[in-house]
Amino acid sequence: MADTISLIFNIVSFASVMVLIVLGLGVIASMMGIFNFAHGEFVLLGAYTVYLSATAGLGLWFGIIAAPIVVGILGLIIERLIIRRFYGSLIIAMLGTYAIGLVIRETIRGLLGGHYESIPEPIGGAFSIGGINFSIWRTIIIIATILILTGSWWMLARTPIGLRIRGALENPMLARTCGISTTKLYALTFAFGSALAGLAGALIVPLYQLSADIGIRFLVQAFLSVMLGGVGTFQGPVLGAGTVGVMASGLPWLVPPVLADPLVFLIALIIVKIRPQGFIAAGRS
Amino acid sequence: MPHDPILKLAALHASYDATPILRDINLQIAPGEIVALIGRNGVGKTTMMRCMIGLLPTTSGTIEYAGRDVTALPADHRARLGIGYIPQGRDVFPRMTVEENLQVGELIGRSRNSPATDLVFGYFPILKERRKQLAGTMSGGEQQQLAIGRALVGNPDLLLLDEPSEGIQPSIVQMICRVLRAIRDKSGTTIVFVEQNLDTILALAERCLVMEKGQIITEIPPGYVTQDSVRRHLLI
Repeated sequence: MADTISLIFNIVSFASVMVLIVLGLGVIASMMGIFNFAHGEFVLLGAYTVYLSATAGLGLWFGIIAAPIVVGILGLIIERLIIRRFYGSLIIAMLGTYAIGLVIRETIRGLLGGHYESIPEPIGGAFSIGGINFSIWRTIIIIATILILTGSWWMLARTPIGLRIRGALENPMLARTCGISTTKLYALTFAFGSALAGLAGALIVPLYQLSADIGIRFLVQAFLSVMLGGVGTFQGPVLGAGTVGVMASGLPWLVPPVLADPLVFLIALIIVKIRPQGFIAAGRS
Repeated sequence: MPHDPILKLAALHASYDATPILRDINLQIAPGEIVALIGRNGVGKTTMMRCMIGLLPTTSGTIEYAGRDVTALPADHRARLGIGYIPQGRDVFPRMTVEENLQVGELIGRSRNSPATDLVFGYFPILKERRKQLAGTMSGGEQQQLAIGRALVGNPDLLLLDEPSEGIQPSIVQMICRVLRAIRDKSGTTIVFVEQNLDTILALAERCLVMEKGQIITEIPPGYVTQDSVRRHLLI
């Protein structure tokens, strides 16, 4: 019983990490039709911000709060300077964002000198309920994920900016004729998606060691999640990320870990084959 | 014309990719006029509407709205200046409720008398009844009323409608025509619409501009918009 509960806790906490990372990717893909191949590097930048803050003596918490702001602003600059030239040409957008990611990754690899850096958990240790131990930091990640999901959903469903986003999502042309500046909205969306990636990186870096490849290790799973969930809705990528997260962390308990990784892809690809539009089908009208 | 035109197109050319669609369009619309753009399929009526709202860039020529050159402005900017546009096929945001669709219209922030939605509910009572319903689940006629309502809550000075009667039952079309006339009479809203349906043209238009092969070939002046004159131009 205790083992099952710890297992479920671990699966849920990994699924939360996955959802955190995928949310930003999904938001950008849904809204702008661009698959941001630099997303993993935005996660890396968030993690690196925490590292910089810690080494500068500003502390871990400062870094965690600064990460989404720093990465969000950087996302905005990158969108204004580069990404906005790619709208409407999917392939070039993929190559372009891949190139941006490569530049960021290799720059940071240089700055880190190829080393792995350990970042401690801001609140370490565990608490125990009924004799079962739960990691405090993993619990915080789960709670943060739930808060971010609720907050994002509330923003989309209940605020004027959310109304604009949904309008541009459902029918960009019609949105423009309703006075909604889709150019501004896309810039904002890209910054928001980047900020989410930065926050994800900041929250997860204590669980993994900081290296230049911290983001890219999630990238393929993140893309799989968006494919699985479907583009165009808020729920789709979240559901996809939850599924991939649960599979990726749960399968190693059922089958040998060597098989688990390919099995995640196999299952996901079979689902995508059966339901090409993803779990939640609602493209642009 | 007694007033300065609210809309003025001069030597306008436009094309899709490399294919020229509009050639040397010159027209002036006075404030408060109701003007129909008529002509057969594929003569460039919808293209002209898209140029006016700014969804299609012009190749050359100028568009002036309320005395201001808007040729280079994007569609969202023109909408905020007071041009309301109802595209062909009664476009609504299908996954939003009726109320949310109207809220999108209100975002333009031009509503003088708030809440502007009450005014729209007055014109189209069905929208009030259905305000919690998803727009995508409504009938064509209801969606068209919603599309017009969404433009009206933005309080436009110029309303562009692309085939408002297409695929909608005649009784609803008549009602929509009455409402549009009432809005013009009450608020002085200028209306320009593309139409193929004879009854709708006769019910609404005060003046007709006849298009052929991307040009305005002639106009039917006020007082001469009759069944015979319109039909002649719809058929040739």
